[in-house]
Amino acid sequence: MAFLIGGIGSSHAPSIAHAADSGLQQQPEWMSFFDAYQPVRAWLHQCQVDTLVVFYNDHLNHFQFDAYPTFGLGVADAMPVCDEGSGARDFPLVPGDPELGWYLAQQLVQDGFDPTICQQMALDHGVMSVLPLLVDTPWTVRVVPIHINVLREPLPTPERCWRLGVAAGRAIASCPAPSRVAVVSTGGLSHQLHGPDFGFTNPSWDNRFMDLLIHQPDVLRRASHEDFMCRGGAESVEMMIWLAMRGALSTSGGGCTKSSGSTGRPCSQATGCWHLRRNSPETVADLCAKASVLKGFRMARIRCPRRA
Amino acid sequence: MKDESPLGPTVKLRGLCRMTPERAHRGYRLNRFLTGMRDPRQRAAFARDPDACMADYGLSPAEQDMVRRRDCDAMLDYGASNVAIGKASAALGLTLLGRGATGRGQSVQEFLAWRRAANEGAPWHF
Repeated sequence: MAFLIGGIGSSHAPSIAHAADSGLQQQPEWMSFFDAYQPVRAWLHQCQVDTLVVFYNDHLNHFQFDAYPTFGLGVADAMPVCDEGSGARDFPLVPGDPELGWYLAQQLVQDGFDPTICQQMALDHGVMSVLPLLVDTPWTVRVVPIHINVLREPLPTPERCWRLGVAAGRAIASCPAPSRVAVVSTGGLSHQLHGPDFGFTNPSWDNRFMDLLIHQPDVLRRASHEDFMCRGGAESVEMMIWLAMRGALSTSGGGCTKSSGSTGRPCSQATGCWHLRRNSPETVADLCAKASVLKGFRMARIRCPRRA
Repeated sequence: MKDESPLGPTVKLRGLCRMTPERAHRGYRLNRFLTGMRDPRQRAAFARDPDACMADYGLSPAEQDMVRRRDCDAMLDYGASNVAIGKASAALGLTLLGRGATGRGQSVQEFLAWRRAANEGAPWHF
């Protein structure tokens, strides 16, 4: 059975990719940002996570407004990186997880969600600003991307994002594939990128948002799009994507514990990377014991994403 | 009253522009043109003959005028997606910093200094 181990929330600002590609990780303004990913990388490695289900939004790269889905689920053997206007970044194809992907497709539809199923999917900075900060290449995880429309109204509500996460969490927990899964949500934090307040960030809201996400997610579920925009800026409405990750974790029946977290403002928007460990009667030692049993199979599966 | 919300206080943001159905409908052709600039062949076509390229995308005279003037605020208000403008930034010779500065009637240096001060000295780069 698949096992949902925990969740990660991260910004996906294109500036992160530019900084990483330009080797600015050790520059003073970027160091604390990149350092925040180290414990998350260590945690993924320690728990031997082999699959990431990533909630994000496509930025008119894979999808155009001629057919822009509210929800889109990537079920592909391997996914290329988008050219977003100045050439694609140099990364190998990202392995997908068709077994978990098709299972998610079936279960989400059963659960009242109807995502557009994408048997080809190119990944933009919504996934690719973050993935290289979590794992190395050649990629050591498979990715199941789930796109959420946060660009063109009508947008799904925060409550709907939460419920999508709940449905995905239930599906992961019942999937017969022996995957070790972390759910990731990307987007935010506060930013406003037009008008006289271009460049606005709101760290006190960012921190409140993350506290609420952990301890009182119901407050965020009930919030409106305007509630998000009037605190974090128009474009920051994408912070509601984090509710999908938190909703998935809620299916464990317990709460969750913040294992690490960091916020900062190294670029045009507030950035953050938080890692939530699912509360579970099992200890990390238990999980790693399970992981060692699965290790050989896990490695084989990563090398062979085209398995039947 | 808003301050008592568990969400905390709101902030008054000026010029907040949402991608409403009305804007999405009116801006469809313009957004197609802007996101088309992801394709190097279309970028080359635009660089070679902007008017012909915009005509190929079926842009109206008013839409073409906004693009010629690089007037991002007008494009947004009309129906361009901010993300779509980003896709065309290279083709139009725009940068995010430059757009921020222009929107406030400042030079890039003035804009950066203002943003750094507004961020209470925290580093702030693009």
